[in-house]
Amino acid sequence: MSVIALEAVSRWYGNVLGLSRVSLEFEPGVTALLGPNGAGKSTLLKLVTGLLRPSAGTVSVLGEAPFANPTIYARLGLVPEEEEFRARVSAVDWLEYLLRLHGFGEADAAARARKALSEVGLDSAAETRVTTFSRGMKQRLRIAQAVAHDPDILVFDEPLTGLDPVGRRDVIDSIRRWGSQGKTVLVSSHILHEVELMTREVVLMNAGKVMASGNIHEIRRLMEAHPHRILITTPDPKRLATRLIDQDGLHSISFSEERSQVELETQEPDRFYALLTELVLDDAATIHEISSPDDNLEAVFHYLVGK
Amino acid sequence: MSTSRLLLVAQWNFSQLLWSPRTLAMGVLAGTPVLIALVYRAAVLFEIAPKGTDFGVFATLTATVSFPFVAPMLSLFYASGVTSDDVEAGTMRYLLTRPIARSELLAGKMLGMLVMVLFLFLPPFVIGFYLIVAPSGWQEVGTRFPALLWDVLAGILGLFAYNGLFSLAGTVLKRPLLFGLFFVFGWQAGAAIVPGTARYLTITHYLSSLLPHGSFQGTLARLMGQPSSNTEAILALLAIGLGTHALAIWVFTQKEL
Amino acid sequence: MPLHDLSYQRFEGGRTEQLARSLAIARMTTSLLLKRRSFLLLLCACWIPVIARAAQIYVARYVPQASEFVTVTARLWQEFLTQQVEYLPVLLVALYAGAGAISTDLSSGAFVAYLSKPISRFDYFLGKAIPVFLAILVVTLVPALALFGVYLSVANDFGVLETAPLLPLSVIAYSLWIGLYFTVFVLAISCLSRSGRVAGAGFVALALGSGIVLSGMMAALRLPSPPASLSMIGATIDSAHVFFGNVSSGDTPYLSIVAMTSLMLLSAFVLRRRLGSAEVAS
Repeated sequence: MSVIALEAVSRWYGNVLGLSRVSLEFEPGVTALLGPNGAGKSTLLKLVTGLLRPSAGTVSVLGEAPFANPTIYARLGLVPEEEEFRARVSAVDWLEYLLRLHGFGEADAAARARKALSEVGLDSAAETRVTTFSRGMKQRLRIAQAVAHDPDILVFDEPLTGLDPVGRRDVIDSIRRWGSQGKTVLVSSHILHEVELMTREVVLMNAGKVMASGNIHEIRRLMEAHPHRILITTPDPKRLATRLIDQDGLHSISFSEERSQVELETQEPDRFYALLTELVLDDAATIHEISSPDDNLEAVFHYLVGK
Repeated sequence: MSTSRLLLVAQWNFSQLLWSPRTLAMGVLAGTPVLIALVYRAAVLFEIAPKGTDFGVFATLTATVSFPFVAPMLSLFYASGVTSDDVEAGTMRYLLTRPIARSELLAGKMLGMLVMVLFLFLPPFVIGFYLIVAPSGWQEVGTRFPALLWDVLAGILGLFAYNGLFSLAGTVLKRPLLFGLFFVFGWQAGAAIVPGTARYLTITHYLSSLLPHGSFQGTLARLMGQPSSNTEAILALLAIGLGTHALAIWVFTQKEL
Repeated sequence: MPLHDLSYQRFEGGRTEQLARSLAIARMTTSLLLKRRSFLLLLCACWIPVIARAAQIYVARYVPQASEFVTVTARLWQEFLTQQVEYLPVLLVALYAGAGAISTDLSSGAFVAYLSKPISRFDYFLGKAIPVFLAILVVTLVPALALFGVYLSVANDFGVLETAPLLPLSVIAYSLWIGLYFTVFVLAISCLSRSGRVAGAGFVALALGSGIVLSGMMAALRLPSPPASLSMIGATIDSAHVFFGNVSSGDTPYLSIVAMTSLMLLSAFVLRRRLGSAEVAS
C-alpha cells in the first residue's frame, strides 16, 4: 500500500476544473510537483492534506481518507502556500500551542518548539512577535511548525518562496535529508533548477492533469518526439563528426571548429554514450566533455508543457 | 471529544482575544453601564437628575442599553468572527491540519468567545449595579441582589443564545455582520410589534420575559403579547444556544476552508 | 552604443485626467459590487418600503374612503427618506459597500498597489467613495424619484408639486446629504481597521449606539430625550427639516446639521491621517 494514493481524482471549483482524473501514488522519498500556475499542484496538495474533498475519485493517506481526519494529521506536516500571517503571538508561543494540539505536554511542547525554531535558524527570534517577521522568517516559521512534531509525511507548497539564497540551500538540504530518512515528502515548486537539487522524482502537471511522473531521466527517455541532444567538446570536431555520421539512430549532427564542439541528436543516447567511450578507449578520439543540455527538468518541462 | 484540547483551544482563543486592540474598543462599548452609572452619580451629586429610586435607574439602564444593545453587539462582534478571524489572520490551515477533531476545535473557539463576551459584559454590568444602588444603603443592595442575580442569569443565557446564533452565521455566511444587524435591529424590533407568533423567533422575547423588573421591549410590544414564563424562557434560550452552537459545529466539520 | 542613458526617463505619452483615474477605481469597485448576488438582493430588499409608499399614493387617489387617513403631501417624501435611514436600509447598504472598502485594500496590500500608480491618495479615496455614495443613492434618491413617477402617473393633478414646488430639489439635496454623510463616515471607520468585519462592527456600534446609549442614559436619569444632534441616526432624521423647509420650534435641525458636518470633518481628518501615513503604506 502506498503512503499516499490518488485514484481517478477530479476536483471542480464551480465550473472551473482544478484537477482532472489524476491517479498517482507516492512512496517514501522526495517527490516534486511541477507545473505552471493553475496546473493543479496546490489543489492536489490540499486534497492530500484533507483541506479539500475530491469531487470524484478517492484520496487515501496511510490508507485513510484525509479530509478532516485527526489520525492523519498526527503524522503529517504541512507548509501551506504563502499567505499573510497576522496572529499577534511570538514564534515560540505559536509553535508551542500547535504542538500542544498534537498532544505534547507543556514542557515537551516547549522543548520541541525551541528545537524546531533552532533547526530553521529562528532561535534568536523565538520570542519575537510573528507580525514583525520578514517574509523569509515567516517562511522559516512555516517550515518549523510543519516539522516540529516529527511527522512521517511532509507536504510543502512552494517552500522556497521568500527565502534568501542561504535559506534556500538550507531548506533544500533539509528536504533531501528528510527524504533520505524515509519520510514521504511532497514539494510543489516553480523553481526547476532548485527542485532538481532536491529530487529526481517528479510529477509534471498542466491544466489540472498529470503529464508525466517518475524519474526525470526516465521521463526524458520516453519522450520520443524530442530526440536527445548530446554536446561533445573535442579538439578535432570534424574528425569526431566523421566517425559518428554513419551511426544508426542518429537524427542530426553538426560541428563547430570555432567552439570545438560536436552536437548530435539521437533517440538512443545510451548507445551513443557507450560508443563515445569506445572511441576514447581506442584512441580514435579525444573528448574533453560530454553534456546533454536537454536532459534536465527544464527541457522536459518545456517539451511537455510547451512553456 | 477531548476536554483538555477543547479547553486548550478555548484558553488560547480567549487570551488572543483579550490582548487584541479590538477588545479595547469593545471594552468601551461594554463599559457603557459603568459610564452611565457614573454620570448618574454625578447628576445626583449636582442635583441635575429628578429624584427617583436608584434601582429604577438600574432597571432602565438594563432595559434600554445593556440587554437590547450591548449584549447583542458584543456577541455579534466576537461570535461572527469565529472562523473568519483565523482565516483573516492566516492561521486557519495550521489549525485544521492538527490532530484535533474539527468539532473540538470550533467548540473550543466558541467557548473562548463565550467566556470573552461574558468577561466583557458581566463585570461592568455588576459594577454599574453597585455604583447606582449601593449609595441607597446596603439594605437596598441586599433587597435588590436577587434581581441582580436574575439579570446575570438572563445575561449569561442571552449571550449564550446570541453567541450560538452569530457563530452559526459566521460559519455559514460570508457577511455575518449584515445578518446580525438585520436580526438584532430589524427582525427582533419588527417581530416584537407584530401580532402572532413571530416574537417567539426572537431572543429578546425570552430575554425580556426573564427580566424581573419589566420588559425592555416597548409598550407596543407588551401590548402585542404576553411574556413567556421563566421556565419557558430559560428552556428556549438554552435550546437556541445549544441548537445553534451544534449546528455551527456541524457546518464547520463539513466545510472546506 | 556601449553606454546606455541611465537617467530618469519621464513618461511623455498622453494621460487621462485626474478625475478619470478615480472613476477607474470607482468603476471597478462598482462592477465588483454589482456582481455579488447578495448585494443585489440587499438593494431589492431596501426597495420594499417603496412599494408600501407607492400603495399609499395609489390608495389615496383611488380609494375615497381612505382619503381621510391616507393622504399624499410633501411630507411623504421626507418620511420615506428618513425611514430609509431609521429602519436600516441606508445603514445596511453603507455597511455592505463601505465597511470593507478600504480595510480590505489595507490587508491585501492593494492599497500600496494603488499608490504605486500615478494617483493621489485623494483620487483613491474618491474612487472608493463614489460606489458607496451611489449605492446609498440607489436606496434613497432613486426610489424617492420613482415615487414622483408613481405619483405623477396615478394623480390627475400636480397638487403636491404646486404646494411644494421645491420638493424635487429638497429630495435631491437631502438624499445627497445622507449619501455624503454616511459615505465619509463609513470610509473613515473602514480605514481604521484591516478587517472589514471589525470596521463594520465599529460602524454599526457608532451609528446605532450613539442614539441608543444616549437615550438610555437620559431615560435612566429621567431627563427628557437627548438632542437628536447627538445621535447619528437622530441627527440625520432631524436635519431633514432644513432640507424640506419645515423647521418647527421643537426641532433642532441646524444643530444637527452642525453636528453632522463636524462628524464629516472629523472623518475626513481621520481619512487624511490614515491614508496619508507611511505606516499604512508599509
